[in-house]
Amino acid sequence: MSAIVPGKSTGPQLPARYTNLDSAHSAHGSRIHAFGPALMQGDPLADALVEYFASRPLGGGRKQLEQALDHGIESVRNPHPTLAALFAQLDHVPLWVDFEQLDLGGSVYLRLGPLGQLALGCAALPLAYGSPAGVVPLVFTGRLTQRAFRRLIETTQFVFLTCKPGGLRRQGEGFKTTVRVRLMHAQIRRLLRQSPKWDAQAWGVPIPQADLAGTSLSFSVVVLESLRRLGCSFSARESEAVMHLWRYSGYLIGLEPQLACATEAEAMRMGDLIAMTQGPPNADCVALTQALMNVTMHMAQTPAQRKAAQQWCKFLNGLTRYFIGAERADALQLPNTRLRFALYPMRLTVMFFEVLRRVIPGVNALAVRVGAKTWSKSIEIGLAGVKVSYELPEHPAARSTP
Amino acid sequence: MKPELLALLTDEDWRLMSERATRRTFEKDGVALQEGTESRNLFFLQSGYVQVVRNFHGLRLTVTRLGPGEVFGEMSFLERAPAMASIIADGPAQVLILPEQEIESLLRSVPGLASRLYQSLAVTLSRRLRRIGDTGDESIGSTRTARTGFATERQLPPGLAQAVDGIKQGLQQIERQLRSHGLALEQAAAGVAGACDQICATLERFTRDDVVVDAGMADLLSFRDTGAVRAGIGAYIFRETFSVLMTSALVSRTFAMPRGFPDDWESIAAIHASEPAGDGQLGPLVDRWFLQRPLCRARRASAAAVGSLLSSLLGDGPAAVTCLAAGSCHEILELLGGTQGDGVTATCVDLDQGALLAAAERAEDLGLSDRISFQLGNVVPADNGEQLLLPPQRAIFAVGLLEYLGDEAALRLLDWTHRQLQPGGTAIFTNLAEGNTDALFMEYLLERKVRHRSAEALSELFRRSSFGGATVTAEAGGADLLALATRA
Repeated sequence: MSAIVPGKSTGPQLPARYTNLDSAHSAHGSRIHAFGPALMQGDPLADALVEYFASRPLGGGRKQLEQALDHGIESVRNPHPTLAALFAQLDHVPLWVDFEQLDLGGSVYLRLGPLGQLALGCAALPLAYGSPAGVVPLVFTGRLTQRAFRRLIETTQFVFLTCKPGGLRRQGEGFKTTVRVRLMHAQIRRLLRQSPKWDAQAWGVPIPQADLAGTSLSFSVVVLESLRRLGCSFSARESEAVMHLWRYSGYLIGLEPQLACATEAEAMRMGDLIAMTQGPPNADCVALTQALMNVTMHMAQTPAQRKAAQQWCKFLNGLTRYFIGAERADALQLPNTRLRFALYPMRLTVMFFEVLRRVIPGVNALAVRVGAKTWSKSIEIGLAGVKVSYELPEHPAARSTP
Repeated sequence: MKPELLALLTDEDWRLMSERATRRTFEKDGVALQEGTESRNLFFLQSGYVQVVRNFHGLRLTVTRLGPGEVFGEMSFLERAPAMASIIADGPAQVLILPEQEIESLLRSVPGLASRLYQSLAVTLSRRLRRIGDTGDESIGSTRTARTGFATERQLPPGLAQAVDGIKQGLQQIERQLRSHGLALEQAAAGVAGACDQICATLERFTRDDVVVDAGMADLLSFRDTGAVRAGIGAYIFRETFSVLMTSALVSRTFAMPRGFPDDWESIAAIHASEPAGDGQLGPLVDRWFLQRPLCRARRASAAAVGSLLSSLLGDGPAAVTCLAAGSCHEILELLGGTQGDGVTATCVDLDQGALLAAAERAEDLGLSDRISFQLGNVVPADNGEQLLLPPQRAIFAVGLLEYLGDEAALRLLDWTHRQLQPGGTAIFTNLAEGNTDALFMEYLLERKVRHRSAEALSELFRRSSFGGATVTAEAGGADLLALATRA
């Protein structure tokens, strides 16, 4: 029996999803008390705004939001206090934000091209899906596995827009998309709170601050670490820039400043705390991860394509196992395929190109251009002409570093 | 005793007026003032009750009842016009009558009396107007809301359109076969009933909590709550099935509320008659289906149960019983027309003048006119305390009324009922139960906002009222609850 019981360890009642606290306390000390309340906290500014929007006629809230996003809050006639308050926070650029550093972080992501997408799909998302409480909002959709492909593409699009040069500047598409996703999170929170099936004692607040923090780690330190294991190398300045990019993205998406990690070391610590306290994966986690691994089957049309897709799925399984470790892979029931051995020549190839990129002038810039095109092309193929609506974009509630 | 409504008069004013007034006692049905007669007298009811009765083509309708301390004749006095209604004693009633000449004499000789008297009469009239106008915070008559703007197209759950299309196609096929005489009527009736049941099942399936949350998530930036999305799904099914459902006479009437009230007397009469009617090939079959739905069955069952309870409660001895929101007055007419209940007199109260006149006509046909009075009015006491008056009753009942009232209005009604009952008197109320499987059909397709209550909730309501508790039972189908409470 745990000596540290949710609800007794700190002031507010903590949800049952916050587990294994004795071990976590041994490793992280009083940090677990500081982190616990983040499971009970949503995003007050966005939550208040969606409450107001719910009272508006259909389409009215969206119209005001887009008006404020495209033309500034000052262009909205008599803005409601909740809208004004949210945009006051969004329009305020914290002192620590360095837009050049944001662009550098974005360019690091872009140059990685398909490797970055592999890191997202085979490390960031599987780790996110390993959290039984974190996947509950997805379970509530009732189409846990059917939307896997769509979620992956929309997540890819979200990351791409964030990383484009100037993406998080006020008029950047990354900025606007991030705000939309923030309000979508708030709306999901609102819908789930209205469901009698939402068990607040077990799961806390839907999409809490803790999960937003996990998301930020997924896109930053998880991707960096995974790609290092694949042979990529990052200078200290580059990795710092990636952390900076996702720290500001976190600010825009409503993450409380005390949960936004500025350095990889901080992020690793928080990731470990999250991993220790989230509990083992359940059947939903397994279903969600396996649906993710099989997304390429979705695109296969002919028998030959299906056969190739099957091989690709095996490779993805192997890569995921490599990224997240055998223990987590087993818990998510990922098969241990022989195609994992393809990773070694792949790693060597990546390392070779990394050397070329560093020593030959102009190759880095070329890599950024080619990588950006790859991201763009993947999204275009994935969406197949369908406009992104951000119906339920994946903002993975990742909890851990590999 | 100075009338309460003339509080602005001084004791000396009242003494002078009383001295000049004539005291008269009217026995039951004695006429204190005749509708249409020229009278300039003021009447002060000292004791007993009188009915204010208007004549509608030979049918008597009680507009209101007045009790001790009330004034009447004031409108004729002020307007110098013939009396608009008759004042008829409900039982022994003592009245002070102040002739016009005496009033004029006093007004001329007593300084300030004129302003005090006219102000008092103004207050009296104002209170009566308020009684008519203020129906409390809950209005039984309802207004419709627009059925658009609840949810976006993307929020319609997958499979909904297909399910509804399937039902419509099935019904169209039955209609075609009926036209070409390719289907026996009973087969068609079974097919229509199956399709209509499917409409209810579809409504239930696509408005479940999990489906609605999922649908809400399909277009998050529309910022629709689950309630709005559910209403949007209901509105979709409503629009798609409207043309078929409205071919049924009863469904159409229930939806349209031509009298401005749900459960109007003609709808209730149709439920009791249970004779399918409607337009086109499908109308009578849809009607037949609806008449067998839990809602209609519950209305019939509850009316029968209430009738049976009243028979055993009242016996043959003299007793007064009142039916609230009486509508077609089905239960009262059945009771008084039966072998039992010879000594029973009844009052039927309803907001709907048409309903009461129709019931009065039927009572006349049955030879029961002398035992039933029909009173126009809202039985739910208003927030300001204005309320109907009844002589002490042995039983008061209402079928299908409580579910249209929120808890606060229902409590006011129960407390008022308690006050109108004689000691040992019984109140009987029905309320649609939470288990009513027609609840969604009523809400989304008939646009009936009804408060379904659980047996526990209904018991709790009575517990909070002056009754302090009630015995609550469910009708056999489980769609309706019947609460029985006694005044100690």
